[in-house]
Amino acid sequence: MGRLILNRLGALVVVLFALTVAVFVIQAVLPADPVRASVGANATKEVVEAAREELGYNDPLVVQYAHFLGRLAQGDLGTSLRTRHPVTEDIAHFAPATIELTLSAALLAAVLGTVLGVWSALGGRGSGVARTVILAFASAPTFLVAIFMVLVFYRRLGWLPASGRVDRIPLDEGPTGLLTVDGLLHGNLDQLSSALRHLAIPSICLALGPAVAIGRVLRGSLLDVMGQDHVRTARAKGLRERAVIVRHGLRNALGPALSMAGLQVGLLLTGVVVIELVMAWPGLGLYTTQSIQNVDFPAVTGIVLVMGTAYVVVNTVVDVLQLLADPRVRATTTASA
Amino acid sequence: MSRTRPLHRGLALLAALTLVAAACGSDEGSSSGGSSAGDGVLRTAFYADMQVPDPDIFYEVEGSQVITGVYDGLVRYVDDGSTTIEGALAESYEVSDDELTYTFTLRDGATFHDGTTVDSAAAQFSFERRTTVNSAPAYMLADVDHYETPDASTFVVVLTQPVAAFLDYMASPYGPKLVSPALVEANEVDGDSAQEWMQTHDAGSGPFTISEFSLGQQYVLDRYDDYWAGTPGYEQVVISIIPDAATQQVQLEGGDLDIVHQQPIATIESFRDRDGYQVVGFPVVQKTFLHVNEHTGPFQDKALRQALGAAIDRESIVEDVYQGVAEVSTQIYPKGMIDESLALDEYDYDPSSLEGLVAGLDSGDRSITLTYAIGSINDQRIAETLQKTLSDVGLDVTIDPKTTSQIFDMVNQDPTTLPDLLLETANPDAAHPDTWIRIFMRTGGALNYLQASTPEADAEMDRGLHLTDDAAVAEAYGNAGDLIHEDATFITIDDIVDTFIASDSVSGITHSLPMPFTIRLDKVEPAG
Amino acid sequence: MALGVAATGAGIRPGWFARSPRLGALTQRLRRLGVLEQVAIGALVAVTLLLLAVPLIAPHGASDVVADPLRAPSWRFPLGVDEQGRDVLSRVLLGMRTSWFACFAVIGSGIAIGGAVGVVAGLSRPLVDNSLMRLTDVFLALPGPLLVLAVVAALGPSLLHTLVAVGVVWWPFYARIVRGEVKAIAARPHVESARMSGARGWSLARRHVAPGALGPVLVTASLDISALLLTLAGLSFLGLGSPAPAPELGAMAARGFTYIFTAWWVPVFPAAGVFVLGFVGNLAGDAIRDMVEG
Repeated sequence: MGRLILNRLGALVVVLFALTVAVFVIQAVLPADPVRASVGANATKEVVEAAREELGYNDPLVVQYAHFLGRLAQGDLGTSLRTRHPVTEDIAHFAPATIELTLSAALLAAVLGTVLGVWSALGGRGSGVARTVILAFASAPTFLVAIFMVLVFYRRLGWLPASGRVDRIPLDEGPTGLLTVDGLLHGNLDQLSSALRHLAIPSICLALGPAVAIGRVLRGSLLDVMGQDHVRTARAKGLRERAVIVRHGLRNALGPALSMAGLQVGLLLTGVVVIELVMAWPGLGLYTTQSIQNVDFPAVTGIVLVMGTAYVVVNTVVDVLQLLADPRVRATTTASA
Repeated sequence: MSRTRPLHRGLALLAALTLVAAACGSDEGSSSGGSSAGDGVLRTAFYADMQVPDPDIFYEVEGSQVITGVYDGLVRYVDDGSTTIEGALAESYEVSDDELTYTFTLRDGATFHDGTTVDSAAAQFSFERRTTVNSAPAYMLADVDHYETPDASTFVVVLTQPVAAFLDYMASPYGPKLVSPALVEANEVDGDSAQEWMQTHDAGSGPFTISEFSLGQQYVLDRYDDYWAGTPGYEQVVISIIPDAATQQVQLEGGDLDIVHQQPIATIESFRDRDGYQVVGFPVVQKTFLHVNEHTGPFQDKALRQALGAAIDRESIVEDVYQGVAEVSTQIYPKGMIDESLALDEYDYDPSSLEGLVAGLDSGDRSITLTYAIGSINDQRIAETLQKTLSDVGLDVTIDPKTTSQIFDMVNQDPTTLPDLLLETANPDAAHPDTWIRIFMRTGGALNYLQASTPEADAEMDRGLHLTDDAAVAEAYGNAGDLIHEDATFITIDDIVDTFIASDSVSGITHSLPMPFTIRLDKVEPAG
Repeated sequence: MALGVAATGAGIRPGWFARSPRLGALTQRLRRLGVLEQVAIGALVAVTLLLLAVPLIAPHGASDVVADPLRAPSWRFPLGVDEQGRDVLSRVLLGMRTSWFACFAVIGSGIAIGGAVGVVAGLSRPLVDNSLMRLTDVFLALPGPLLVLAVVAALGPSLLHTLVAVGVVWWPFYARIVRGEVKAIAARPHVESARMSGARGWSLARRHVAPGALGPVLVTASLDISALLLTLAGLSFLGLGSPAPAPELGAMAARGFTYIFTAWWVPVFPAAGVFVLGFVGNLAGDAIRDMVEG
């Protein structure tokens, strides 16, 4: 396992290096003016030129890239052209909201997916209907599902808030930055419940698709395992069906489902952008959109690196978990590492 | 082995769809409560984070609500939609006959948010900070020779040459705002004029003061009780960042927002007759117009450009697209900037002459590109309408939306590679005609994207900028506009009416030129 | 980007091929399937054929102005009229066609590129294999919207360019799946013996490996339809989709979103189109999987 992690760390460096090159190439071909976007629309040419010189955009791209790598080595992602904060500070400001949303969506997807998978593999009554309904919502554009849920749960029923991350109440923030966890740690139950209520709609919207996918993998695996000899034997010995599933099926099915989940979490990191816009969720998706719209190159570069890192890290964790869950996967996992 | 066969409940699917349709179709139901009005908090929303709330850096549209709410300048536009300028922190002002010396007499009893007094030293400090910071709005003080402070309540600005728009600059939301020297000096780090501190705080004297500035979440403005013009009506203003218009609308209906701006036209229409809401529109110097590329394609021919002007059915654009939140354009300048009889840009609608001219073109010259800025729903619809109109007369129009930053970059490019037509809706920095025509239409103007050039018009506006007689100034800018109209390198389409939807719990909503989406926070108050 | 609901890779388990039959046996499997699975696969084929005929069925052209803007559904215009006065029914039908074939284009090119990379990686030495997979990782780690913006900015906005950009982020999924399958297949006795008897490179890949990987790829592809349509919708929502007035369902739903409370039929019916196509894809995907797995 140590080797796997080392291997992945090496891969991380390669991936990040390639990403920085990719981002710089994109910047070079993008016919847009970051300096103009930073000083404001009606600025005079003199002001724009002065700012361009000061920000180093007159240097050759290679020089800019070298400077960038030098700063990156010191953990400095530069200064956002728009917010004028260090990009690392901005990302630290926006990231917890996205992490909290993504984690809760992933958790929800896992639970929902497992229930769906087991339920339908067992041929439970109503599992087909449940799966169809979830699949239906997962097949509609996310922004429509979100606004539909807002209409029902905010406007009609008044149960849930329509936007944002938390109500304007006294907050205990830190150490994690996740409002639910921090609320719990500080015993601030108002904060916990407010944060959960705000999380509900966006995380359900994000979880639906992955839940269907995970459920599908799980169901397939379970059916597969149930057909295997040792399970038949166990069943023949008179064990109850449910016990058989739990004891043999679920453990063996966990590997592929985890691998699926890992891929889905990677996708979730990208997928939150639309939801964050519709639900006014103050996370990285919002920051990404604003940065792209304003051609805030340092910010965009920082986001790309952070998201790339997150993707690789999440999948490494998934691989390790998979090893722990089912040693038999070792062969395929290390091969695909 | 028995397998379930899920996914075959087509009925469930149908039911779900019906639900969606039903939920979307009706929303006149009871409000779900939300926060109650009457707690002294005005709730509104921005579509995106503003640029920093530093008056010497800020140079965008969204966010001017914060700047004007926490800072005051020496003068400002009266909130009746006119170009009349009244005193703000200056009780009165005098302009010398040579238009080189502006003498401002400061108001007694005005204080900054730290309690220090607004005086002439603070005014000079603020004007000098702008030049030191030297960001986009610094250009307004480029012609200043020096400042004088003969006494605490007299502030004198001396120019090197007359600048006809100078007083308008002073009244503009982008114009110099007074900052507290004590606050700036206390929060200065490495000689940055407190720029870092002012990214999240304010040093102003306005009706409100920034108490929380959380990017991506909300900006909270608290009432300044010692405001010189009297205590503002609301105790607090909360501005949430809500990127989506539909989400804003739902929250307005749910009572979590009190006033919203820049809603889709259809939404504005639907609120006009609804109980509990008011739709208010204000004149604002904001115009939709076409840049016409004279360097490439069929519109190198002036006759074609002029025929294009006549081929656009502005009446029906205003009626179909804007439904009352815009008026047909009659002048080169945004409405209200210059006398109604000057700089006319009127066409008798008649597509036949363009049709005739297009018929004479080689078929290869009939393909044109039309660009607008991604994100502007109304511009997009006008672009689609224009595409249809022009294809009816035989032109093959490709719509090519660009990001605003790509459009900004066009002035640096070879004009023959740029689109044939560019549609935009824009507003100038102030209500003086020079702030409009120089930046968009003068040769080499910073936002003259398709690089049109009418040298005779340039000469007129340059002459006007340094004239001292009001009538002569108007005449010069009128001539410049006439020359642009004759050249038809710009074709104006409509003037926007800045429209807000508000709950009835808000009263006293007023608005000053030239900035859209900005109400007077010192005038607005809870109803009843 | 609405990638969050991607079904990519769903249902494919490592080593799945080990039990997957040659395609020749599939017709037999098809007959053994339940009626509903047959219907699902039939629907996939039928929808494709039907959409080919749409220009003949649609009552109006995609950009014809037929009535005053924003008219509610009526007998004359069963799905209403959009903000430009165009018939929503016709636009949805034509949009389904555009979207459906856009899916085939993106997924097809994804299969071609990803398949090639996956087969080569799966059959090559570890060095080549690792390099190709790192390259794949780079593309997987690229935030989609940024890439689409760059491509669209460099090439100009059009449906084709959006599809090119999406294609660039789409193929790595197939590369991963195919590579995994190929690895598993390559370890199988019959491939091992073919290698022993001198089969190399292309011929090995063509005869023994590629056909085996086809099953999981087909399943993934049909499950991907919904994911791709939702991605296009998401991109349009961010202003990066198909420009006006090409009828693409995602773009129509996203652009019509502003009318959700005033004229719900403008965004909801195109969304229903996305939904129907995605649903058919999902049904067919599940059915194909059941079929090849038997």
